[in-house]
Amino acid sequence: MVNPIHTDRRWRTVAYVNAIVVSLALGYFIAGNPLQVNDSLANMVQVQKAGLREILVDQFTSQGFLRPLLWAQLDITFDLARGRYYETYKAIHIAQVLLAGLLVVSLLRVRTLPSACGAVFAVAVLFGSRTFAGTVYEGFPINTYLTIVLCCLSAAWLALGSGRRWRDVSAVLLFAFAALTVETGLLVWVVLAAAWIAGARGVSSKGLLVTTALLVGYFILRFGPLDVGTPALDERSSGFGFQVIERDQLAVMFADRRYLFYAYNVLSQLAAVLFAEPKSGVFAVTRDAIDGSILPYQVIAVCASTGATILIAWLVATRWRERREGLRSNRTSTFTDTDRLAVIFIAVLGANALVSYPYTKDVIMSPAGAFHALAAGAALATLLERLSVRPARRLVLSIVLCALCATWSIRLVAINYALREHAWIVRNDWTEVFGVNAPIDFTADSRAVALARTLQEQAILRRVPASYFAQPHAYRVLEIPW
Amino acid sequence: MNFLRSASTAPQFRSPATVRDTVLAERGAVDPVSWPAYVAVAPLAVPLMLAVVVVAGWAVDVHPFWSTPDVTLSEAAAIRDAGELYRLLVYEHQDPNRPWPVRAGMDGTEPDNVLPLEMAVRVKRAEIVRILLDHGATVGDAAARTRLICIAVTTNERDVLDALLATGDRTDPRAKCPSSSE
Repeated sequence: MVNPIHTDRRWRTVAYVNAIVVSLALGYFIAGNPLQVNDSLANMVQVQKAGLREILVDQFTSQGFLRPLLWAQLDITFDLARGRYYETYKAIHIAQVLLAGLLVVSLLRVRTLPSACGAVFAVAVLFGSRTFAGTVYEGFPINTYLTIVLCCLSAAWLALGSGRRWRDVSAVLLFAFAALTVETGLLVWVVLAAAWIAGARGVSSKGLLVTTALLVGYFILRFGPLDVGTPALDERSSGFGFQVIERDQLAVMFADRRYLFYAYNVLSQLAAVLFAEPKSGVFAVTRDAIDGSILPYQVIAVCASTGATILIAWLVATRWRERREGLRSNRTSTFTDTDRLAVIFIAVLGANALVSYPYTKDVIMSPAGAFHALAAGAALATLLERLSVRPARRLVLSIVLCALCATWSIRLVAINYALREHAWIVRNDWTEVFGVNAPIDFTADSRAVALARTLQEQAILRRVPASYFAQPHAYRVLEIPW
Repeated sequence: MNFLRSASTAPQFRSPATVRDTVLAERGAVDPVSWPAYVAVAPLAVPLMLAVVVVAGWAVDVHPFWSTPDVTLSEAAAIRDAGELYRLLVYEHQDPNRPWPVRAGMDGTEPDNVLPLEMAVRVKRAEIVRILLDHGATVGDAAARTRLICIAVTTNERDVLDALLATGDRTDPRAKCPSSSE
């Protein structure tokens, strides 16, 4: 007979090895991308100019955004890099991706073959989804969105563990760190609260109370003494219907109906995670289907995300029914970790869509996308554990699952392929850094010029595959999300 | 048995058949009856295998998915590879004022020998033209300059035309172009 303890370790090891290998492969393509010019260079020049104290003061007095720790991270890592910017920021990025993969496997509590299958599926959904794409294509030079994904996953990991004092302290610090890094960091509180409501006590009631007090303090500070407010309607261009509306047009179109625009943003962000349509607020698949110009990758994306959502819906419906039956027959029916992941996903999905009301962008929904992957992985594991013994039904289900896994396999390959294409674009951008389209004003700033020259040399000397040599029809199947 | 209680799910209410499947799964034994279900997850092995190749290659400095074929200056212009063009000009010090071979398929069906600047004008890329002009490329004598400007006129690319008109003696020779539209 197989030793059950060894069996537990074996499947867990399989899941972790898969996550590490897939993360490192993604890391390989991230490392192949030069540091980007847009956003990244301007941010680096800013932390080069100002000291940490000056940056923090500036952030606490700015309008629209409250992100002091984002800038603190940039400033500290910039100083620590000591000129080795490419190596430093790529190492941070790859470590973040690896940690995300490991946290997903850890949260799925892999012990059996079905749960290992669920974990492999969850990693594919995490890295293959469009909401995650923006966390690896870009770096500012640290990708803040990925930082928040990690904070949310870490919060879930803290909450779903066994109750310890250090978990409470970590949860409070994690929330403070995330909330002051970027606005979506507030989702850490949502994760902790949803897990607590679902019965998880890794973070105690006291820990949650302190975090809630910090959340209230954040809002008082933001809308009170600091008067940071919220982003204006014309802060950025945004997708609406079948097109992207430019900033000035947005202000004209929705000046008297801004709540209509905000409601559209919230609903389209929800749909983007659940069905991969719309794409950054634009109903591109619908538009292209009407035009007759739809490509296979668009169908694959919609089928993959919708399939994962159906799996989650099945899990929620099944567990809901079982709980009701259990309560009716006076048997105890506690929440399992699988149930808690589903509850956290639903809570994060709603809250994430709400906080992204000002404008639509897929990557803003990356925390919800991460929990979508977790819930889908947990649902698949549960489904595999409960397969009917009737051969016909099992065969049909197997074929459907096979098709679903195939779509996510393609999406996982696609993100690596797209990163390879992206490297060529970023390297080309560096050729014009001092040209007519220079992203920043270099006049009278010799240190900025020296920094840009260093980064330009690092980017240009690192050879990347030219788009010309790519497979000519790959773009039809593999999504390039820009 | 303790290991049965350690599964990811707490006690649930399932049919006897489901319980049997779950117990077998928790023991790590693949139930031969339910194998198609696990085969269903098999497509996910494809990206895993590709990832293994990538990571193993990375470890030994072999890059099967990161091929960077050598190109000439004119080829870099033809395929709009501004980064490689810049590297060849600035770090390899290649001459932008001599014709370089262009393999078949990059700009036309036949191999060619073309000046990088002419190729950049043909493919209508103002940024490539600017990089070349900024790094030592010249439009040549008046006749050569007129010829380049006439090519730009036929391509009807405003930015390329402006960049060329700002070179040399800055005269506008478009009237001399055959069947000029402007």
